[in-house]
Amino acid sequence: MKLNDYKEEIYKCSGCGQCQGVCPVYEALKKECAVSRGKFKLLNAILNNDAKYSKKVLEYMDLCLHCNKCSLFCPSGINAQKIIETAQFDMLKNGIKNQKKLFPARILANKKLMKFAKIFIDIIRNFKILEMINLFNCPNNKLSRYFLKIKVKPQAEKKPSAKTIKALYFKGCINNYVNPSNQNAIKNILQNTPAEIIEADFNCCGLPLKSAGDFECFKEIARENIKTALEKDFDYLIFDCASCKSTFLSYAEYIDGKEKEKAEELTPKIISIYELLDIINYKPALKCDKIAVHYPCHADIKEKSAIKKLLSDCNIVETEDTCCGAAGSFLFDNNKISKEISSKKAESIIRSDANCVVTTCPSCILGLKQGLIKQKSDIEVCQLIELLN
Amino acid sequence: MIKTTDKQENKITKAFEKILGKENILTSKEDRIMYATDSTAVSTDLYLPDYVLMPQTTQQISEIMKIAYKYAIPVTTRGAGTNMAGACVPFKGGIVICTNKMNNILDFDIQNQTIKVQTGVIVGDMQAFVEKNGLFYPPDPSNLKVSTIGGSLAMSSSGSRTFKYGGTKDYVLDLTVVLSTGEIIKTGSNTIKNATGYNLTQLFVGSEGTLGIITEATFRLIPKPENTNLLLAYFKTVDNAANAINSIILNKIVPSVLDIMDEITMKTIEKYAPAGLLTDNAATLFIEVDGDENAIEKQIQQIKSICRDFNSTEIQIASTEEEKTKLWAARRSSFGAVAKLRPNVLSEDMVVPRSKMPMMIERTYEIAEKYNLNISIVGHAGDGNFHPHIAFDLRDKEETQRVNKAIKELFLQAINFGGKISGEHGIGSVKAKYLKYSVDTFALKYMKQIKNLFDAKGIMNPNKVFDYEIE
Repeated sequence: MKLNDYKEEIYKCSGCGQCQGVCPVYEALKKECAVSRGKFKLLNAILNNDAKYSKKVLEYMDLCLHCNKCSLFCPSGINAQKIIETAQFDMLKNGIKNQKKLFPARILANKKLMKFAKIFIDIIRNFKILEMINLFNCPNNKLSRYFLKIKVKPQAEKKPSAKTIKALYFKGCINNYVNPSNQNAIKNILQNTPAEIIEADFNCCGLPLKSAGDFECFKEIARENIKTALEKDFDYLIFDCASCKSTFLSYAEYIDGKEKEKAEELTPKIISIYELLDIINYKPALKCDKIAVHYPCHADIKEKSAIKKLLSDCNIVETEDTCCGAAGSFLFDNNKISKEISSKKAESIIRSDANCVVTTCPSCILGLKQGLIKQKSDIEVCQLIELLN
Repeated sequence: MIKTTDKQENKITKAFEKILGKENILTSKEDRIMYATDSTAVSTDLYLPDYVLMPQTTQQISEIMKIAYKYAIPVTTRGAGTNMAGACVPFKGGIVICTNKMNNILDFDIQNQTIKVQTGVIVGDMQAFVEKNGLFYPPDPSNLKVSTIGGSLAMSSSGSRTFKYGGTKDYVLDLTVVLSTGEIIKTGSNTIKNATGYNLTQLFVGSEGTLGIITEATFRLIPKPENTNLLLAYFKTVDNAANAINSIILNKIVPSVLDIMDEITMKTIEKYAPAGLLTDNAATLFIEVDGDENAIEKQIQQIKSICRDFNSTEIQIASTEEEKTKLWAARRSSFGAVAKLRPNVLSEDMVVPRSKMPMMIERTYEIAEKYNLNISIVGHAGDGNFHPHIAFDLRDKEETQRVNKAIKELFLQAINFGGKISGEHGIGSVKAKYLKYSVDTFALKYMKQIKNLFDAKGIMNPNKVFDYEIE
């Protein structure tokens, strides 16, 4: 995979500039480097030898939330995500890299190291070190309190319902290392349903690597995760994070040969927990007044419609369908821009007069909280799955 | 590139930094590449600016212009960079002034129904803002979700609703303009009427940044129509559609939109963004009516019966808000859909007397066939304004030559029919060499004198409007 493969597609950008209307980063920055048109012009110049790869080029490629809004909207139908990632990959091969983004991505994908790290995380949880930190009045404590607070609840031994559906559960890094509340909620909800949860020793989904353009490591992880999944016997592979799910769905595009076939074999089984709840006809006893729903950028139509069904008895208030601003490591790498995007989202939530905002992506929770904190609002943010619990 | 010494350049950069702060000046090659083009397929060559500046106030622009004037640095002003005439390409390098950060609404006077904005405000945003308050700003260029008020004014743009409501020029009351010397002038007044002195406001509308930089503008607004509805009428021949248009107008019906789309456009839209359009008709009329419920119903019935009289094969009426939104999205995606066919698209913009529309469309097809080109047509039929979309590959020199020949023939044909080479996109750089065919010789002489009067050093958006050799 190299940028030159996309030469025609990049050239096809007519420069209509409609992407300015949907790009959250452009909204905050007002500069061409934010938006896909600007990026394509730059990459086109590089392909024509009018410019060279540089730190600056990488910096501009990294100015992307990977929210995919511009690709979905692009009148010329150009897949911006793939082109940006491929440019990053090209640069990585040429030794131009952003360690701030790459290093954490590689650590997350290092299973042995992360197992070791988990021991520390558990210590922090068990000894309530976080509360001690709070004593020092850490300025960011509202956000940090979300991390590391909740312990994994042991699963109940008894199995009240007969299990007919086997659901292999991909936990993802947030459940594993940050906040296992989703995991607890899912296990609890599925207890009285025909669905049985199976666990496996998955690696990170690889999205942080993919969005840093580290295709070599990403492919390795993809192969490993496919192998881990196919060793189990299951009907569905379920996700509580839309980004992890969309990354699994993209595996087949990145690997070749027999492994590609395996990835394609896996594809139809990949669903979100909400789709599973729909399949097993789960009827929640959920009645909420004035809730706002934030759909993660990576949630697909199927997931969205399943979510809508689950919330059909609730009074949903309208908010702008914009990005929460977190987008994984973007929150840390470009915090100023990220905050501005989050804050804009929060404004629209506050305007809607919602009592609480629900979402289905752990990373979005951070973005939403970040924005609401900045706007000094105490509207609650929660995971839909916890709400259902 | 600017012809200055290193020492001078240092001095200039420092001065800009003092005016704007470092974060609002872009000088890296990477950045300059991104501001070298707009949305027009002008050339495969790159014309890089030396500086991209992002001011936030009129005063800052004035300070910038004083420096540019002193050192005779070319200045190209840019809003969203979405014009269709190559008007933002900095052919001579120099400064690109970007107005995106000048996006404040300065004053909204609900009693007098006027609004004053900085010119970096996005057209769609201003529209939504006034509509929330029950008022209406009708001009609707199809890229209104991203394009700026400044761009709208500079290019004298309009849109589908022009037929009933007029274009940008019909709503502007007053402008604040920074001239090439850095002087700041106000051209009009906040009042709805004004017959005081020369109408400089209209002189700057459509001046494409060649006379000065419009930094603030005041518009009059009108009450928002209560409701709208959409109707699509399909015809087997362009003539039938044209006759239906004439009959609608002769019957004193004034739809807010009276657009026409040809078979290729409908097929292309439906192929890439299915919206339930029928695709086997030579012409489709896209008609929007507005008013109260009764007025809408009456107009719809009248239009329906007229279209039937002229053998319309099928009539679709939007019944829900979603359907309306979907059909509008389809209509506005016509340029985008054609962009999928080939790597580049040129959207031309001739205007002819309404009665000549069917003949002009016929001639366009003949020219397309003669030069073996992919041309589809969308038009504001009520205004006689139509856009042949030419899909081609700029890198193919032979094909580009054919495109240029076809465009020249199209222009001459439009002029022959008593029309003009631009209705709402402006002249920019791509049509500059044809201006002499479309403007009275003596008028052209005075236009050039006006240009010299305002821009003695020739630094304001060089190589636009008039025919210059590109260096």
